[in-house]
Amino acid sequence: MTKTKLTATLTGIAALVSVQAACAEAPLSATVLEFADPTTLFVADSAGASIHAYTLPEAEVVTSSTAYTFEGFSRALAETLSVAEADIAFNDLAVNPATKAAFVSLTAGTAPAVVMVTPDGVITPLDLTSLPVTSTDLLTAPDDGVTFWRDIPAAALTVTDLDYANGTLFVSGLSTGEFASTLSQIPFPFGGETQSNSVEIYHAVHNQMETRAPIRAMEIVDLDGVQTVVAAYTCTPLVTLPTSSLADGAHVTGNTIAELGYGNTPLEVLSFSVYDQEQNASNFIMVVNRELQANLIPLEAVAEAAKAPGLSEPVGLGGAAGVATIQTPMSGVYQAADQDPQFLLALKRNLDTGAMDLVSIRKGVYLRLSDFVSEYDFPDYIYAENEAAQGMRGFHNLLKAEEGFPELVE
Amino acid sequence: MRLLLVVGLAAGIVANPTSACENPITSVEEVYPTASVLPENLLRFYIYFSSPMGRADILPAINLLDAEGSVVDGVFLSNRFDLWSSDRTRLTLLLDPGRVKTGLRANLEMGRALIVGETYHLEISQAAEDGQGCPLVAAHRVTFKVTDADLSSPSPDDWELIAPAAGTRQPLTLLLDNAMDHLSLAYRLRAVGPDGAPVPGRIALREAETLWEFTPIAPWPAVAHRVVIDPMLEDLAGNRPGALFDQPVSTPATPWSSSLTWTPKVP
Repeated sequence: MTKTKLTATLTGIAALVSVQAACAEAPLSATVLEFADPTTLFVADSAGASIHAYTLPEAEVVTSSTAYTFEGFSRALAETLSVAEADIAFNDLAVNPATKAAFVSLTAGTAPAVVMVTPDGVITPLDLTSLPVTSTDLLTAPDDGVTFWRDIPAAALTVTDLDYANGTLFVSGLSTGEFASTLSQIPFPFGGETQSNSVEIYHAVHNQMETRAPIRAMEIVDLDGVQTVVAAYTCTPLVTLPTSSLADGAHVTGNTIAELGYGNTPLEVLSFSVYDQEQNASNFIMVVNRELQANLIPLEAVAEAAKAPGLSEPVGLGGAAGVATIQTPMSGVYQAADQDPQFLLALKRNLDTGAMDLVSIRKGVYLRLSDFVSEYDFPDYIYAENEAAQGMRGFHNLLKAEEGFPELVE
Repeated sequence: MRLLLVVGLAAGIVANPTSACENPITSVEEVYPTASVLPENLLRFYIYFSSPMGRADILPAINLLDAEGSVVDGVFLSNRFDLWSSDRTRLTLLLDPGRVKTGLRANLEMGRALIVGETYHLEISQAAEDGQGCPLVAAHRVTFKVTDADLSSPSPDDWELIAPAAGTRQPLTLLLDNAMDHLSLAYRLRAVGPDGAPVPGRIALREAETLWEFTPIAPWPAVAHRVVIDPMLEDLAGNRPGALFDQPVSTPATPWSSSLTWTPKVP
């Protein structure tokens, strides 16, 4: 059986909480983003070894669904920020749960920035020095009167992902010191006691080797009433950990439910719902990868796999193993977020122009019709009169319109 | 909401001034581990710079070269964010754990990055940019030879403790059974007095991180002391007391001493 062991002897990376009132200083970096609610945006500051919670102004709830079709986003952004496009390094993407506005974190030249983008293509940089903020430190700085032969900065936590659920901010990170993969739970509002676990997992290999691997991306989901961390690790096992087992800090049993393949960096774990015409929801997990296609897994399959014994056989060369995943044609996606009931939102590298686009991708199909040239696009193509072909025509027209090509609707 | 968000970002953004840099001042001060022979399953390097480094991805400026000077690919873990100390003077460079750990696909298909008996060079290119956008004063290269994988846990019972004399500020010395991670030696070992509190003083390392030396601020009283060992202490391969970095789950827990008791010598 594949297990996950959590060691709570957290002598490793303790996240020391300090709450500051509104500070006028800009963060040193703006990396991972996460919304607690429509007016609370967490911004991880790995360079500053802290997490900031910014209070955004109240804004009107948007109930309509509008697709983003912002091709050349990185170019427009460079102009807005007065930097060269090549100097922009994108970090993360989050969608405001009420306004559905996109928030993008990045490094522009050397400066961190968070911008808000609306579907009409308006880019608004946030002034992180004027928004009300509370912060929590991620440094271990034991001051016990012992000094060293040279300046030895204390280990800090480089945040690899954030997820917020029910008053708790879950923080996965890598130590800049020893190779401890850490999963912290920080109560929000900040000021409560942080609990950190040094995470160890067993990999699915011939001899069940115990390892200490870093979590690269994660999502907190409800699996049949059990709050669970679904985490994608380096080299690329997908693991489930019930959060209740984290709370007591003792050894817990989790599962490596899949190995998604080596030579790959998982970039994001998303959970979202897809609705059919009767508004029945189907729930999914998606792992967005840097090298491999995005893996789509029905949440029910994740729940089932989480209850069953995990991988115990060696994973053969080349293949993936564990819970079945649906490959989706979402390549070039750097970051993605659940936009609304109809769409995922993606920062997507445009292979033709090289620009980073900010585009919505319709759930269920997981592609943008405008990325393809197919026989349907030839001027002399005529949809047949049968029901299937006319259904396809209607669907194509929907995609064309929402992807910004209403003139091609036929 | 848009109207309420104040736009004030531009002041924080500066163009990259590389071309304007005439006098580079930043150099590589030290690379840990410092030994010239390293285990095949080495887990990480640490690179100390003399000034804070820039925010651009530094990995393209760091290469592992084989004896012939050819770049060895896929050695380091490419994280979304580089692992810098908060003052940006120390970079932690992880060797891809997928290749270090036995049985993972990366290990099966690509093997370990380091081959026993071979000589390698870790090279930090002059092009690595510091916080001012300047290149380094010079490229920095360390050369090491690879020996067999370290598959044993640190064993404090096998350490030799050389006790100082009571009433002096002579150093307390530990001769370790193996080279340890230098951060572990800074933060995971403490001389503790009879009250259980760490004794204030200064730690020094010698002999390629195989010798730990602690000099107290005040003379040692002639009472029993301890050296307390944090279970997170790691050697160069990430092995901890009682637990290898990479071990079969059936391995029984190995008992180990989490503290060593000693008393200063009375002259």
